[in-house]
Amino acid sequence: MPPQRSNYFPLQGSGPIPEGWDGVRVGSETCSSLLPSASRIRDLSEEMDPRSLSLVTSVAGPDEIKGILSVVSTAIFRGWGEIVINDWGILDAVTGSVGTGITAGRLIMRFRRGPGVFDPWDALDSSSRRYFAWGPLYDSSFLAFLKVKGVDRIELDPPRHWLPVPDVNGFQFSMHQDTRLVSVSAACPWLFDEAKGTWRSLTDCKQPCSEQNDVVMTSPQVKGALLMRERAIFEPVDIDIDGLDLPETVDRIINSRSQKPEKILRL
Amino acid sequence: MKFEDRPPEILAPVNALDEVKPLLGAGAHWLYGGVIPAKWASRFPSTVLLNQRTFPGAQFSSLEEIEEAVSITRRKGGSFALTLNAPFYMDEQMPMALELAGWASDAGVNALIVADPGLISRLGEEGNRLPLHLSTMGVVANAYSVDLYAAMGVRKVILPRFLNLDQIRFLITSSPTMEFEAFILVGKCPYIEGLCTFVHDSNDQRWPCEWQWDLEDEAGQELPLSLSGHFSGIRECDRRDGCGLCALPVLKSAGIITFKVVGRGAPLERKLQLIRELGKLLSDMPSQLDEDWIRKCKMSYHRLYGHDCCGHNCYYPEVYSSDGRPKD
Repeated sequence: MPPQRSNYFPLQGSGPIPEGWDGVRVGSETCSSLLPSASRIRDLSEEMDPRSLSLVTSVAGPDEIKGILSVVSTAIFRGWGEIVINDWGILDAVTGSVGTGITAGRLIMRFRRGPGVFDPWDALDSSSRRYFAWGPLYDSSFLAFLKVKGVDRIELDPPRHWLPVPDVNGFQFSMHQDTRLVSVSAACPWLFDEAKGTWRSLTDCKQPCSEQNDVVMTSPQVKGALLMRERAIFEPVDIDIDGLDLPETVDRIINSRSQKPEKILRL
Repeated sequence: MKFEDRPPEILAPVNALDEVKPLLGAGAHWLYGGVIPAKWASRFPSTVLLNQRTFPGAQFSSLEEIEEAVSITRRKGGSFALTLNAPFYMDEQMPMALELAGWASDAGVNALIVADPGLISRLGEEGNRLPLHLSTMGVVANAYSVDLYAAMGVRKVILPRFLNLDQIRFLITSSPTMEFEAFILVGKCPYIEGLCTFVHDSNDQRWPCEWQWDLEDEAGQELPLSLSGHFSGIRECDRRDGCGLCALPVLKSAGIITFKVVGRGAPLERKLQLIRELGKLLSDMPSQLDEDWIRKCKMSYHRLYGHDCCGHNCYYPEVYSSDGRPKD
């Protein structure tokens, strides 16, 4: 019998959580402007079981972190199931929080996946293959550091060439099933002012990215396409999660596409 | 001495012994460089990182050569920082990274540039005595992150490129005991380097972030101008022509001590040109922005890069108001 896994998707709008899904993610891995307000955290806590809610946080600028931590504190106070951390300062600030799971997000984990020009997989020995597949999971000093900081869950995405997830003690894993995180833009591409040749301030952000579809990026130098979403670049992943021999520690699957209830498909 | 009272310093890239004296002579105070020991090179391809450079021309050719470079640097009154700034080291790699750090201490290196919290923890456990400088790969963007790394022994933070001047000032004010370094010339990355997984592996050293990408809305709708402008700008303004010269007075008054020039692997003549131009401006810097200063910086830019500056490779475009004049 396959292990029980819970399925999460990013929420837009409100609950309740549709049938077939176990939890929702609110926030953004890559942009602080897309984090919910404390009042939205409170509202969602009333609408849904807080244990099924994940707050996803991004890198925090020096002037943003207090506001983000205020939202994080609200979620912890309301008993949310998980805070996904993608910033060292937020990680340090939540260390010692009780009752809410602390998850190291993909930006904390820094898997080294590419793409580049070459795909040297066939020429790599087993050690270098492990490096490109799950490198940080073989850095036990880094994992010990995460443990000391209170991290109990790690977010993964599938490597370009599949190798089994290594046996790592002390952590549960969430697997992004449909994207691999490639990069994060230094400035928001949606706020570029072509007339002035520079960027508008993030403080002016009215979330134009949330009104847009994904942008497909192709280049003759890369096999397949990349996707620009928010201020990040992803590589779409086409992998049959159920067909993989995942360890039981991978107990959560994340769909990265926001799903309106009528569009939701069971995994 | 308070940070803001210390004279500014230039950090210059170095990758060969014969570059050391000219770079120091041109005005560099710190040199930074790396080496891939034979033991590492025999086991891993260049894209498996010991430090954040993937092409051999960016590295010293041997431990002996870099040891001599360190020795000359110190004799000439400069300081040398060794790059050990890969984002992580697997267990089978960690002993080699620690061995290199131990060698650096014996060789007289002045600081290690690091990024992996795992390596930083291990260095602490192993009794490392060298000051640790946190690489931009560490992505320290707020005072809480500074505190985290300060507690682990980091003495200087190299700021990530995406912070604007207000944020830099805010961060330095919030972390008065930490020393900070900022990028100033070359290498304006369009992405957040410490969060980027594009592999830099092409022979022509044009990386995926610089390529011409064809863009298409997934649902076939028209793309917003902002997005097209963003990508066309990345293509049209060479990131190698990155520059933050105009912001020098603002950065200095905010408390930045060290100004970093990017370019390990670049020709020596190019590095010298950049350092001389930067040194000249630092020695003649007003306490605040004015139009005369901006004019000087734009002329410097033109001398260095052979064309006018461009918003896409400007490190601190917020120096200007919308009419192109310096902000008050």
